Amino acid sequence: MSGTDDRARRLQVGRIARLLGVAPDDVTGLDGVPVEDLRTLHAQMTEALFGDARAGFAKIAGLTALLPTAVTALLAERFVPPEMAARVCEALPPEAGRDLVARLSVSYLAAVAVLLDPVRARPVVSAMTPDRVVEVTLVLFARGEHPVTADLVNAVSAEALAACLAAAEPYDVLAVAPYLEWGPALDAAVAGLPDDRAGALAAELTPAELADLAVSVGPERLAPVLAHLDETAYAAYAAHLPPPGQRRI
Amino acid sequence: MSQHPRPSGDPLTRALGAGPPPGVASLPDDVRDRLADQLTRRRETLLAEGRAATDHALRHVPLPVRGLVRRTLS
Repeated sequence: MSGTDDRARRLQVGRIARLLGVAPDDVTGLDGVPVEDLRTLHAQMTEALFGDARAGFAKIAGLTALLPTAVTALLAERFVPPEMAARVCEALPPEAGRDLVARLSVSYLAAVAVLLDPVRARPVVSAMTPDRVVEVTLVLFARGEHPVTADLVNAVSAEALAACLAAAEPYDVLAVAPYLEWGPALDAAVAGLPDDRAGALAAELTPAELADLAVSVGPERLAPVLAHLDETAYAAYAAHLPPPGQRRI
Repeated sequence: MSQHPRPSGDPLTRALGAGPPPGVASLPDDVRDRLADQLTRRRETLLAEGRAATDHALRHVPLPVRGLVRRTLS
């Protein structure tokens, strides 16, 4: 089993546990189940729990012809559980999803975001505006939801990704980094990190934490941050790096 | 992993309203039964919470549209 499969499986089991209202440790015996089957099980459980709410959502959506959209969005938040809203968002065309997301409150949207399936929701998430993504990301960081946040930012536009990285506090960057999918967009976001944010990472993280971050992202990607270290601080950082053969990246 | 038969009386199938995916259907009975029990209890809890939340939420809907909303949701 690859590390990626194991991480994906733990995330899916965590989602199932959240849906069932139990701790992840209470969902046992699923270690050998393929990730796609866990995703299907999650969808089936969501339908079993919230399928009836779908009709309620359709009725509320029908009110848009009679009421201002702001009132309709308010009603949706009051009557549609986030779990059902997440399934609706996954099924919407990206443009419609972006419009809906723009009208929801940040706190409700954060509750929905935690429940989104990263694969099925990717079209809608990638259509979210950078401002909206940053707002939700900061709420999720404040709640300590770093793995889920990584799923979210892995799916957003390159512009939104760069905005998130620039807005994140150093300790949130440290916590979310191990879960990020590295690709050209993330490389560009790190390379384009504003100088003051790179400086904040260098100043606020300890040498050991910087070394952990370097292991997560690769030391070469951390160059804009390391450039802010003086000779002594750099030596302390380097002393905490594991030998190259023991690094994950 | 051995394939378990999926009888029509399988509690997880009943709770889901459909047969689970193959990787779940082949799990031991005790694992499937525990999932079914967790799902059934969650549904009961949510139904109770939903009724209370709707009653509470309707009190926050502006009075001029409260009747319309109540009729729409009923």
